[in-house]
This record gives sequence, C-alpha cells and structure tokens, in this order.
Amino acid sequence: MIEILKAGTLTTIQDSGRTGYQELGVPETGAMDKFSFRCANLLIGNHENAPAMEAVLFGPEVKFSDDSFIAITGGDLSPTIDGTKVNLWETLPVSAGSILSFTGPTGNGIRSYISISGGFSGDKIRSVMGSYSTYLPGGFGGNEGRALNEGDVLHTGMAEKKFEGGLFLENPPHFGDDETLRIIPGPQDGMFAPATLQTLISSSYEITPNSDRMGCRLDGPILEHLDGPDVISDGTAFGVIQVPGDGKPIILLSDRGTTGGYTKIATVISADRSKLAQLAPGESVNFEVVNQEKAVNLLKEQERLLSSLSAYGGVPLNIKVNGVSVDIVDDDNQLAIGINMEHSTYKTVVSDGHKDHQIELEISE
Amino acid sequence: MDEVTINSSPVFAPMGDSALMVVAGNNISVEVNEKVHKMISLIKGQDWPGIKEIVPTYSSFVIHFDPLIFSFDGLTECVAGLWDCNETSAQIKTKTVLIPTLYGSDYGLDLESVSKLTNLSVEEVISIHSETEYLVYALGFSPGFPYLGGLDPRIHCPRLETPRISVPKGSVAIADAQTGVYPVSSPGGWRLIGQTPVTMFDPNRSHPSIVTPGDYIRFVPIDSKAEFEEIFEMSANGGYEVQVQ
Repeated sequence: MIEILKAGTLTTIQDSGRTGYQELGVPETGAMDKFSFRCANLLIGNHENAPAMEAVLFGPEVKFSDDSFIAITGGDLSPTIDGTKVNLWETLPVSAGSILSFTGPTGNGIRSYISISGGFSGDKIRSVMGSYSTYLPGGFGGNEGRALNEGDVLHTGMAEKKFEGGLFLENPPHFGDDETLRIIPGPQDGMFAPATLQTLISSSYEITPNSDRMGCRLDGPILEHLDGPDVISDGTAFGVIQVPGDGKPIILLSDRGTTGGYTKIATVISADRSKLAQLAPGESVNFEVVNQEKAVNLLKEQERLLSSLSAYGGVPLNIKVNGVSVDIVDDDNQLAIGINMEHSTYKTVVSDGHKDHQIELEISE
Repeated sequence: MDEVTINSSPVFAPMGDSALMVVAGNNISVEVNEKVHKMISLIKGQDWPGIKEIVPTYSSFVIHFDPLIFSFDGLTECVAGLWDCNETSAQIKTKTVLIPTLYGSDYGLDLESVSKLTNLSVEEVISIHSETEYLVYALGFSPGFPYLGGLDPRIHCPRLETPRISVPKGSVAIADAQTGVYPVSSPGGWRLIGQTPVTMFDPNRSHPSIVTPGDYIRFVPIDSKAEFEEIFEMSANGGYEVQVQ
C-alpha cells in the first residue's frame, strides 16, 4: 500500500494504453513514453504492462507502507528516498515507512514512470475497456478516472516473490534540448505546397506551453497547405503531425482524438516516441526523414534493450475468448501473475455479445 | 455534386511505421463507407498476425499494426490482394438501432427555431427527422459520438451562432447536413431538437457504445416525459435494451 502525501503537477496511473476501442471514439491513452514505462516494470520483475504512475515536471511525494521494490525511469525529476538522491533506471528496494519525493526537472526529460512490485491495483484502480490507463477528459480508467490527489491510498498487486532485485538498464536514454525526431512523410504530405516538407526538416521548432497529453504544439516556420487545411475526417496515430489552418504543426500524442479533420504531413517513428514524450515547453526540436526499413531497425534495437530485462519478469494470466483478450484476476480484483499464483480460484468476465458471464478458473498445483 | 468514386485499388498512405491509412474513396457517401466496412470485415476475417486494431472513418480506415511482426510492405500487399474480393462472407451485416427520443420543449430547446428556419411545422420536422435511417459513418470527436449522414435537406439548418457551454447528455441535434447524439454532456454548437433517455455510451459496460460504425440509427419519437423518465432509469441501471431491426 502507498499513500500520496503530495500530488505533484500531474500524476496519473497509466499502462501501455487502450487497444481496440478507437473505432468507438475512445482514445488510446496510456504512457506517453512507452519505452520508459515498460522498462520501469521490467526492472522490478513486473509484467511490462503493469499499471504504473506517470509523473510530469514536479513528481509526487509518496509514502510506502510495506517493504517493496520500485523503479523510476524516463525523465529525471530528481527523485530522493528519505532525502537521499537515488538513481533512475535501476531496481530500488524501499522499506515500510520510506518516503519518495522529487525536487524537480533537471533538463533531462519531463515525465517519470514509477513502478512498484505487483503494479498499482485495488478497488479504485480498475481496468476499463481492457486498460488501466487514465483518460482525464472522459473521467475513466486509472484511479477513479482522475489524477492522483493528496491523501489517495493505492494498493499494489501481487509481487513476483522470486525476484531478487539488482537490475539496471545499460546505456539509458538521455533527453534534452535540440532533439532530432525522425519522421516518415505522410499520410497527406502531398497536400502541402511544394518544398513544405523541406521547410519542416530544415527548421527548428519550439515546444509551446499549451502542449499536453493530447498533443505537442510547435511554434516555428509556417507549413503551407496546397488547398486548405481540411480533409474528410480520418484516423490518427501517436506521433502524426497535423497542420491546422494557422500552419503551426501539432504532434498528436496518447490522448489525441481518434479522428481528425486536418492534413497530416508526416509521422514521428515509434523508436523516437520516448524523445517526443520527454520534450519540455521552451525546448526546440528538429526533424529528419527516414524510411520504413530504418524506422523498424531502430525499433528492433530498442526492443533488444528491453528484452535483456524481460527474462526476469512474471507473466500475467491472460486468455483469449473468441479472439478477445481477457485478464484473469484474483478475489481482490488483482491481476493474476502466472508464476506467482497462490490462490486456488481466479475469475474473469467474458461477454458473448449480449451479456457478461462470470467465469471461475480453478488452478491446481 | 460529387461523383461517387470507390478507388479501383486501395490508396495507401503511411502514418509512420506502425499505422497504415487505406483510402477507399474521395467523398462522404454510403457506397465508399460500405467499402471501408467491407474491407475491415474481410481483413479481420484473415486473422493476420500483428494487427492491433482497425479504425474506420468516412472514406478511409487506419490499420494499427506491430511492424516487428508484420512488415509495412507485406501488409499493403495483403490488403491490395483483398480489394476485389467478392466473397459472400465479406457482406457486412447491417443493423438498425432504434433510439427512443423525446422531441421538443425542454428536451429539444431549438426545435421551435428549426421549425421557423425551415418553414415547417414542429410536427413536420419531427416526422422528417424520425423517418430516415441514418448510417453511422464513424464514431469520434468524443467517446461514443456517432457521425451520422443522410439528413433530409428540408431540415438542414446552420449551427448556432454561439455554441452552448454545456449540451445535456443524450441530446439529439442537427447542424447543416448532419445529425447526431451527444453521448456525454459537452460543449456544442448544434441545434438541439430532442433528447434520448438511452445511455449511448458507458465506459464500464462490456459493450460501451450502443452503436458501432456501419450500423444504422432511427430515432423513434416517444410521447411523454413519464416514458422518458422510465427509460432513463432503466437504461442508467443497465436494464434497458435498445430495439434492433
């Protein structure tokens, strides 16, 4: 169990996002910097998708009531435990009564991920549409659909008992000013005036303060449309750069709308998602065009970094019913981790298209 | 008027390395949208590995995929290969969802102004609006908000000059050639002509939205505040099932 002593700027529960509901207009949401989020879980033997905290700029103050493992990854917001500075990107043991706090950003990213053994769980933290991610505008997911507040008490799921700690990430990423984001042109680069893509890649753009989880708004040279900014509303993706009538690009992020009616000139590649998510207002950013092959190779490199850690983690029980993944939980609604099961019965809910059916699973050792 | 054009082969527009936009046509029409839904149904039937989700809109759809499992080139090739498929299994099953609606008075604050703008009686506006089956082209803007097409030109009206700060949940509204239902309370500039007591979207239901893309909606007038309240209570408690044809 943990208690939030101070909320911080904006601290929310996130996982890797909501998949399969964009067709109903439900945003993907989820951790903005997915690499750092997954890493935070893997460093403490959790499944990589266990619900964790995402803290922005000024992190929360948190009191632990049990001995546990935690990890802090992503942007460096200067974490301390009981007043002593601690490292990011490694397993951190905490004792009952310990207090984690943050003194503020250091110019190395703005979003930290804080994982805890077993993940954050409990009555108030429920999976909504297959995800624990908080969607603030819709008021659902995460902890009661809202950001964490002072006084909130969060429970934790079952920890991997065989985990011994001592993990760290070699060569962790560093974030900062003047980053170069790699992009693939499209889907509508043909709807801009000639040389507009050239303007984008030869200029520097500044991150404006009204950037949020929906989009990163940039200021810099105007991007000129060929025939107006509007398209028939179509789909969106994380990292796509849309350009409204004023010619100022907006990079769409986790909480973006599922449909949009502005032309989209290019898309930031998946391997640069972390860099994008960690940009601070006032910092500047450049763009460089790469092809699909390069983008996939960069993504593979990133996956290799994580796979060196994933061997230590437990696996959540998950079954597919008619192709739909469902989570298995124990009597306390905590996600069941495969190699750590002590209860004999678990349950899940399966829908047949008309109504929900409660299904009990009995595990015999 | 735009000519209806379904692309003879798919137009592929990459959206980075993990999403592919497939454009089926160049306008908002039932025919193009049906092509979108038919292709999605076909692709889902293939059970390709690495496909995360497919999101339809008016004239295109976006396939979100894992490029470490399914390559971009492999995916475009496979989608192109299905374009001319005419299997009967590819025929999409459409259903019409009946949405009970109380028109006018406190439930549709702009019905009178619509009546004046269109030179039709209130009864005529209701009758025209409720006799059409509207295609759900897509959902977007906010969770569960359906983009509906097919509004009768006789009741086309401009948006409000000043949008309302808060439109009640369930409001049935029109704007230009569009009609829709606000699934949750939100700001909005469309003209409100009625309200449904049905909870259109609830994140905690196993099927959060009453309608999905490709369905049709028909608004069915209900007669009294009492009936509205009755359905409202039942729907909020999960005890109301919409009628489907």
